[in-house]
Amino acid sequence: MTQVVVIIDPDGNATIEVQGMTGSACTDATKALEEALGVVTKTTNKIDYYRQEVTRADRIRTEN
Amino acid sequence: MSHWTTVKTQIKDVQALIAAATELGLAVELPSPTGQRPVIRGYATMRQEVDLAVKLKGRYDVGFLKQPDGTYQMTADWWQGHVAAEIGAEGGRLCQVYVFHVIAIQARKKGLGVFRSVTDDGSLRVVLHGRTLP
Repeated sequence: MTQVVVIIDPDGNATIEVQGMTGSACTDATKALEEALGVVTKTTNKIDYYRQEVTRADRIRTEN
Repeated sequence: MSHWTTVKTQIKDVQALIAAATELGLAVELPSPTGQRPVIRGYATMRQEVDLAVKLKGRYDVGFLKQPDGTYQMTADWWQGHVAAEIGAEGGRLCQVYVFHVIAIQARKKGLGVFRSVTDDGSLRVVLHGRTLP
């Protein structure tokens, strides 16, 4: 299931995480939110991002 | 987990700021139709004109000054912690609730569901879900 989780710390800064989505679709999903909130200071693409063209060898490599 | 971004918050959505102040039980004042700007209270007789005032229950208020880039800069007399007691250190609590309302407004536009909870360290955890996520 796809969902977006935002953690807002007590200082009011946000971390946005997209779960259950692959490739650049995640970037699109958070872009509007990021623009509404402020300045992006850090972006990390997690393992799923690189699963857009998964081969069996890739899967074994990323899961180990 | 796919994509993770950290955002340094900038106040730029007046509607969300009003919603945040209201949630904290605080009144907001905007410039009058004739252009008269609201005034916030500071130490003793010190006063400052601002573009948006959040009237606090204690002796001082917090104000926001509109910047050339469209963002709002927070200003307050932080002396003796009167302001921090109501809206958090450096306004963090107000800012935190503001961010929630920015997200809630965006979610409403896209027809997404919003769930909000509080974590052990005092962060707000907001989950968006719905069929309109790509």
